[in-house]
Amino acid sequence: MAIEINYETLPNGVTLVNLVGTMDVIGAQSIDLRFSAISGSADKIIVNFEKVDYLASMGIRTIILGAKAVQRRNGKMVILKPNSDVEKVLAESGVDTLIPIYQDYSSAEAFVLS
Amino acid sequence: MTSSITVPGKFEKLADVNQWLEDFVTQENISKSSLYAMKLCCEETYVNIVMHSYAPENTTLTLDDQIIHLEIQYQGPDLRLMIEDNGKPFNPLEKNSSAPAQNLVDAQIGGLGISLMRKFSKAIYYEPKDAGNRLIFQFETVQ
Repeated sequence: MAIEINYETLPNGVTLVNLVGTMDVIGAQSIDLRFSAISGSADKIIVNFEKVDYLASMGIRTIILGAKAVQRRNGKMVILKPNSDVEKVLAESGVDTLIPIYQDYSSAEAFVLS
Repeated sequence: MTSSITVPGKFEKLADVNQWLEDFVTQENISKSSLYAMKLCCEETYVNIVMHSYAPENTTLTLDDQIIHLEIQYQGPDLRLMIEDNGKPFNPLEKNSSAPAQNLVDAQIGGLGISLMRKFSKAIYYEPKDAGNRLIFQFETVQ
């Protein structure tokens, strides 16, 4: 399955980015530009991984590049609700120490707004 | 139980490899987490082959000869996944895994693939071929 990306900017200024599908090398390439554009303009980003069934290193690359862009503008990015396999990849690759991971929306929102 | 597939060395053919893996684990009643580990190691190797072994500056092979061959040997719970190519010799195991960065500023883009392969497999072996590379993963699967 490919990956889809959509986003909405909420009244409180938080940008919720929803990823749906498979974040393999093809998926990562397909959303790279759009994710980069969102990361280049929004400064409070929640990346919703709830419907991401797979993540590998090229997908991690896309996310880290976006997080770096957000941080350069003193913004914040978090990852929301990765499944257990995806969360394991994030942990084993050390991404969880770079980008906070939350399993509930309220905590994710509170962090990016803090 | 054994199974094999040969595909052109192109990113878009990874989908065929993933389908082959999925069909195999379904047939053998192997868990989704074991499948994830296999797909991850497969993809990381596949990306290395396409981007390095078969990079235009590294090979004189025609596109038709730039193939990737995969074989599974399964004797539950032990599973052996072999991945072969005909490209420029490249042993990913000789590449040192970089230490995880502690902050985004220092985070390196790339280099995670080998680290993930090591962490998601029981063992990895590299064998050079007369022409190309052979990487063998061992997994201890669960059902």
